[in-house]
Amino acid sequence: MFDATRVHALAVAIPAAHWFALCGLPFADEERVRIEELRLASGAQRVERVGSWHSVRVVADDPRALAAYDADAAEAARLKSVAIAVTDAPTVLRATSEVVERGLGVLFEAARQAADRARSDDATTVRVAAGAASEAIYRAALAWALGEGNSHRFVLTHALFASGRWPLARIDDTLYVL
Amino acid sequence: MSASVAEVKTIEEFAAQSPEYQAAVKKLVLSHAINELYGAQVFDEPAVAYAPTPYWKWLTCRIAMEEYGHHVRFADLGKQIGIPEDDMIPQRTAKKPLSIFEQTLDTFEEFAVLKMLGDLGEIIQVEDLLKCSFVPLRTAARATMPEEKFHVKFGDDACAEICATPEGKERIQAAIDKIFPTLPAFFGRSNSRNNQIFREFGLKERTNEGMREDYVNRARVSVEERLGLKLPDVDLSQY
Repeated sequence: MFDATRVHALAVAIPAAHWFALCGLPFADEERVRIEELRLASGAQRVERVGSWHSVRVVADDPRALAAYDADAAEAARLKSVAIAVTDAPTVLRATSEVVERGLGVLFEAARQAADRARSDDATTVRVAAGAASEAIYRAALAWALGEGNSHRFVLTHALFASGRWPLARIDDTLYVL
Repeated sequence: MSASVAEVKTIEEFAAQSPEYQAAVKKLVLSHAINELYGAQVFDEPAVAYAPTPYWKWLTCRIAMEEYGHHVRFADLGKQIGIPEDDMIPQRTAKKPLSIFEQTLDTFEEFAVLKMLGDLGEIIQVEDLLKCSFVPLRTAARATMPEEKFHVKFGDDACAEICATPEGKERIQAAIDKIFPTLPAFFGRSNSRNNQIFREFGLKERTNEGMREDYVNRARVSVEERLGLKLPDVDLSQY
């Protein structure tokens, strides 16, 4: 079953989340459980905190990050196929379009503020950030609407984004989190 | 804007305009609404798969979202002025999108070139709406401009990075050779009756052929002066 009401709930929660608010700061104790859950779900052996907004491109533009990204893209494609199979393409598109539309301005502004805090005038990284968060919300929406559960890596990735972090990449056995 | 054409400031004032004025505005809004969405679906979204790393994939994803957002902006205006929603969705209308969408993109290099040169064409079209007599359309156009400029800059920067190697230069040149010849048609026929009507109503300022010539000149700067590559020759008299 594809529960579009769950997608709607995720979409309306977008403005209230803390997108990029903790980027660059040390991990707080209360974050460690969430980060560890994502580490386990992603198959990484360790977590490395990325200390600066200015390091985004160094990590996210590493070709070694592609393997994990492609695995996630394949999983997203699988979830989308399942969603369409249990409902129909227009229903899935209508539901997930709300996620895109609601995030358009909010995520960009949150990323821009994070860049300002880091004293970065790199407009491209702001868009990279907004794109990453939007993709995370979209994938979590698919997983959640299909009842995949809170332990699915897409749901955990979204939770980490919404709490203020940016899971930048998994490279070899390391999960990099800004 | 023609000195004799007064501004139409609101939807209510629009409703009081002549049927001819309303039809002209609807044509423009409809075209933008359809082509923004179609471009996002056919070019921008699929390009995410071609992007080489997560950094470029997320950037491409955001660009696709912004193009989709432009569709939403023009479609919202379209609904306000009485264009049926289905008419603004490419898969539900009989109106064909621009001919440039008939080609396929097969590589990230082609996407970078399309943003550099295709969105440059879009900027010229949007620039021509910045003094539009229909103020809500002028406002919608103005709102999309910063993002369109970023998209062109993305294309410029991505092409420049790829051109850092001889192999990259070859790939970008091949992409330019494939894509550029399809783009001058984006501006419509020369001596266009529609364009004449748009200008008479103060909706647009420039002729199609004037914008096309400007476009080719600006594209030449991007390709030949900035990248050191060759812009294919195009016979502008064919339009």
